[in-house]
Amino acid sequence: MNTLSAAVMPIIVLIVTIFGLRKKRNLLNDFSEGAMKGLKIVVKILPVLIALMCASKIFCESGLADVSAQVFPANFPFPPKLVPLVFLKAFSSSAALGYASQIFKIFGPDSYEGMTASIMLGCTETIFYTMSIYFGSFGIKKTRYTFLCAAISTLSGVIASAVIASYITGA
Amino acid sequence: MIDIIWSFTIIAGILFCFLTGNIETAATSLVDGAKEAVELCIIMAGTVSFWCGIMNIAEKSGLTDSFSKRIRPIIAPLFKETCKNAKAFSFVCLNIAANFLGLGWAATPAGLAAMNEMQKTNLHKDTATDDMCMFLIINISSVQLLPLNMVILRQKYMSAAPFDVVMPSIAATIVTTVTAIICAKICQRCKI
Repeated sequence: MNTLSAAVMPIIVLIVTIFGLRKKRNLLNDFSEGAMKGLKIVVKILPVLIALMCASKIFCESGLADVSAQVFPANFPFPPKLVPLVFLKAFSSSAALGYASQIFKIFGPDSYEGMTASIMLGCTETIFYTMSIYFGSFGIKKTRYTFLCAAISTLSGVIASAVIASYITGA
Repeated sequence: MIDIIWSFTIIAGILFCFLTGNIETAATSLVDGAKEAVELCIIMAGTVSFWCGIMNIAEKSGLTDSFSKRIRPIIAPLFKETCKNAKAFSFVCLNIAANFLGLGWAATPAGLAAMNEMQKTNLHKDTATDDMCMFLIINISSVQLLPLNMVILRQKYMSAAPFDVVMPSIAATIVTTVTAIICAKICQRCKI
């Protein structure tokens, strides 16, 4: 399973490179053009990430995270500190990334909580952001069952993440 | 909305620090937060750029296009109306293929083009069609193959095996996408 996980990226790189070579493309040229786009993406998210990372940091370090985690009963089946992550991810990927880094700092990325957060952010998308871009751009106001289904799908992802993470970490 | 969450967290965090007498914590966490964000971006810059470079080769060599053509038979049953419109359907497939490969910059324009085509045949312009709902629900369910950001973040916080998230994440993505499609199909049947 772990070897397979590590193999996904190199295999894709291998396929793409061989395919590009066979098509006789100017590979390094295409690569650097794309890498430039990648650099721009990272630079573009940095200002927002700074803002959101500071907020996540003060939320955790001030003790506010501990206090709000106590709202949940002791036998709550999901790590209380991960609840804000589910909500943040629905609004913004950068916010989720900022808060997840604090989760990693507190629990460690390989812990049950860290693994759940990792899988969860890998299998969900920003509900409100996506809806506002696609529907908002075309003036569609009646979105019918989109939100309901998206929320159920996200919830199934949250549950799947917790189950898979507990299976992996043995927690 | 994210503005409200952000400002509320900052204000509540600072006030809470003051109330508990940890004024220094408020100051250090703001400074450290900014520092960590920059560090994360520097680490991300390398890997994200590499991936985007590789994916640009995939795009320019026609691999993304041939992939989006191959997934057509799988996607067609989900979009009853749109699959009759060749142009709209090719954008839908391209968007899903790009999302699958983690090409955000290619996915959004293709997705908007798909929506534009679908809107042309939409009789009630302010109401989403079944196909539009299905398209959005699949997009939100995430079809991403490689959760690169999480790999990078795990690496930054000293994970023993940052890539361990890949297969579990693929499994969880299958769960969310299948759930999304089933839910959307049920809603279509019930004519909500």
